[in-house]
Amino acid sequence: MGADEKHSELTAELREEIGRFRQSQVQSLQAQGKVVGCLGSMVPLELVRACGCRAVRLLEAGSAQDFEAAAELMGADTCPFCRCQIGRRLGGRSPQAELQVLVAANHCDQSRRSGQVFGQHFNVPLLPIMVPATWEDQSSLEMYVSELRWLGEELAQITGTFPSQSRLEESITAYGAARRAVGGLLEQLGNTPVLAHELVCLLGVADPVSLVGFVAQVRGQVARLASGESVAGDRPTVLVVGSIMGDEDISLLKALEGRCRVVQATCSGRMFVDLQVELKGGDAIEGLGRAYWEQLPSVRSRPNSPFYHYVNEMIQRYKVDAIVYRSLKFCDLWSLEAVRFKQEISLPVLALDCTYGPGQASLVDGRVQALLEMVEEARR
Amino acid sequence: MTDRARRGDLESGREEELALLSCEQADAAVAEVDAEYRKQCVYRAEGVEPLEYFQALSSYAEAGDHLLTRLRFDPSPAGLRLWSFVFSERKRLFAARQGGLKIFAVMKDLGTMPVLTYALAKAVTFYADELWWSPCLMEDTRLLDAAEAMGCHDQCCYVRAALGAYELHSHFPEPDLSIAAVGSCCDDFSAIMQLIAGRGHKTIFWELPLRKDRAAHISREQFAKTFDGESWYQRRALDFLVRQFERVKLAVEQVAGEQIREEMLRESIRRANKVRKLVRQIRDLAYGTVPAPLAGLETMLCEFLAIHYCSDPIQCAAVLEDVLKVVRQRVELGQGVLGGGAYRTVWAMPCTDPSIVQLWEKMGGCVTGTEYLISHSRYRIRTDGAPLRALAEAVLNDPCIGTTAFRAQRVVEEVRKYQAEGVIIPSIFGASHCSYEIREISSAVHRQCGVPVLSFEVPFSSKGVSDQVMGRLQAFAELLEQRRKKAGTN
Ligand code: SF4
Ligand code: SF4
Repeated sequence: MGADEKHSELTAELREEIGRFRQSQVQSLQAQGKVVGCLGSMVPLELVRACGCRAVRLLEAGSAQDFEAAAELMGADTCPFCRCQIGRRLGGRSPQAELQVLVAANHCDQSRRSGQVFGQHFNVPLLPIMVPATWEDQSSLEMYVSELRWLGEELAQITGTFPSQSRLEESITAYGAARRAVGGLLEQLGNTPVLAHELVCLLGVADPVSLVGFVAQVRGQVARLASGESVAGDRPTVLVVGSIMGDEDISLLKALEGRCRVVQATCSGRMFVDLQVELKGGDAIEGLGRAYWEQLPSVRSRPNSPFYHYVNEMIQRYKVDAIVYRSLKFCDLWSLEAVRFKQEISLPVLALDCTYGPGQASLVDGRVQALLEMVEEARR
Repeated sequence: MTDRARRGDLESGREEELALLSCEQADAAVAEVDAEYRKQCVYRAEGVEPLEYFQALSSYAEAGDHLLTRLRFDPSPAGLRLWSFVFSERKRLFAARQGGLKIFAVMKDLGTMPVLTYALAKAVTFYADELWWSPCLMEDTRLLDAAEAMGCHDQCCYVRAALGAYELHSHFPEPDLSIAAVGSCCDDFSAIMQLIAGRGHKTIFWELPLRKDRAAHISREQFAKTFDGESWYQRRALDFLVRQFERVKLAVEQVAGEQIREEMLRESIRRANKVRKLVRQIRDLAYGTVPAPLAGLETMLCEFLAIHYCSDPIQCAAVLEDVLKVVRQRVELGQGVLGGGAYRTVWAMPCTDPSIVQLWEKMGGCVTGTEYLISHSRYRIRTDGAPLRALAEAVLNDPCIGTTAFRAQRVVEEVRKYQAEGVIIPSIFGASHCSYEIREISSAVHRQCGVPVLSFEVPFSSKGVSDQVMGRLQAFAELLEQRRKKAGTN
């Protein structure tokens, strides 16, 4: 068996394992307390879990069928990611179908409104939380922390479990370990971005303790996969930023796979994995809030300089050669920023406006190829 | 409905229909206006050359707002003054700059921040949002093209014209400070405000909080009701907003080089309340009387004056007082600008192309209630307690910062209050909230009022209203007619 074949076989094996683990986690959802969907990266899973709930960060999206299924409740000109949340519930797909409570952040206008549609139409209690877009004044962070306290109290009313300091600490530690475990593997999976993405998405749906166990189980396979990559060092590094990437939203990653090293830095990528909450004995909710506030820079922040700062940091850290700036169709926050982004960043930037439609893959593939040819040319 | 309508004057045959004027006729009418009256129509501010604004409407058309030549206008001097006042804002802003006044551009909160800035005598404030209807008024895409060059394409609503105007310096002088409300607002304008700031225009961002609805499963939040407007909100949001206002106040004071003292703010609130009251009175008579004493566009202009006074609070109140006087007289005399049998419709979105409103009126319809996304600007602001807190509280009436259901309820209230036969939603092309709102508003109106809803998208066109929009309106008029026949009310 040649090196490439071996590589493909190992990749396929790992993907299967991830799929199986994911399946088992979804099946066990309801056995672990109320299933609480978290819409938006700023809803801390740690807090939800500390309230005796099973926290699910909603990252499942990307299929054209789910997108279409939402047509009866969502207009054609709405965010595909948001539409999928509705479409999956309508189609009985997990984990949206299992949600018993939804926590929706006003991360953008569309997630705020689609959270309302979800709550209203499916009769799921909706807990909306305000995540300020402004940050220059201390009051914004204080408001966010105050929202988290409120959320904890509200969930405690539903579950009877108050997020005490010790419960929070346990939960923060568990998620911290899971993030570190996944993060450790990601460093070796730069050349297999689809696999890396599927692994990251596990963080959204899995119980963190089980996830740590799973990562320990596959660590050897990942190492074997990485060690078999002979040409990896020569490949350019591409940073992916932009709209959230759902678990099935992989056409871009597929187009990049095998051609470059990929660092996926959307809010469902590195950012989600790298987050670490430091517990220095202080108030756990405050520490949690501060960590999310400071470590998840968003294009939606006003002003959004922290986001640019983050991108520049990633460029330095990973010695990035080019950037794919990806917006989802009808996502104003990302798509209207694209031209400015190109002006602000001094690297080749490919801006893509993506849908979940069937023609997407070939379109993306051609443009990615052109970008990489340009990068290769510059490197010569 | 007003007493007069209830008294049954319609049947007594006292109804008289006044004809609206073409632009040419309006010019002639303006020329005939008494010189004494004209002298009252002057923008005055310390250090600024007095600026007469009551002019031929065609002069404003020639200056760029070409659509005016296709519109029809209220025949009264008060009505014509209103149009002149609104369309002369650009001149006032440039005159103010020349006179050394500070210029504040406010964005998105639509009604509250100007109350803070107008506490200062040597400052003018305008909404960059207003540029939103400029492409249709100008019948040209210059502003949109300039925005497009900065990546702001037609996925975004027409408010992108504001970005174009900042870039071209065409509609207002460079503001000394832009005050941008973000957070619980549309993504379209949020993105644009960032682009404006990113282009180096001095900007301060402040947060519009998310207003939560009371719900059975929310038990750990303390709710309160706004002083006027009856909007429930979580108390924490108000405390947060006060801090936002304190921050903006400081920034404004730094730019102006003057402190805003409590009594200055109180006086500004008093002035705002006066304007708001005038607007409420006008719209109550305009929407609640048959035949309508004021047409849809004139009433819309009055409604929009409440948000920022068109850069002149003093003239704004005078203009509105004049309009109110005329409206009252007409109601008394049974005069209307539209027939008594007009189809009564609530408009649940402002129409980017104002000629569509007039087209509807020509087809036999009328505007009899609105939710133009600015309904919070007509509620009274509290005059007791700390004035900054009162302003902050007023923000919490904003129909756009909470649930879609909240705004839908405002539409339902309008339908009920003014006994509308239908609701029209002229969806704003590219606006991210419209899709969500059309569904929610339509279903709430059907469910609670049992009246039909028409929604259509308003595309940009420099050649008049599209056949498609015309056809939809025509079909809706026929539907309302059939419903009348069925109900035996025609
Ligand atoms: S992709 Fe854009 S519109 Fe969709 S949820 Fe994310 S930020 Fe909102
Ligand atoms: S999207 Fe709607 S609310 Fe936002 S600026 Fe445009 S018209 Fe106004």
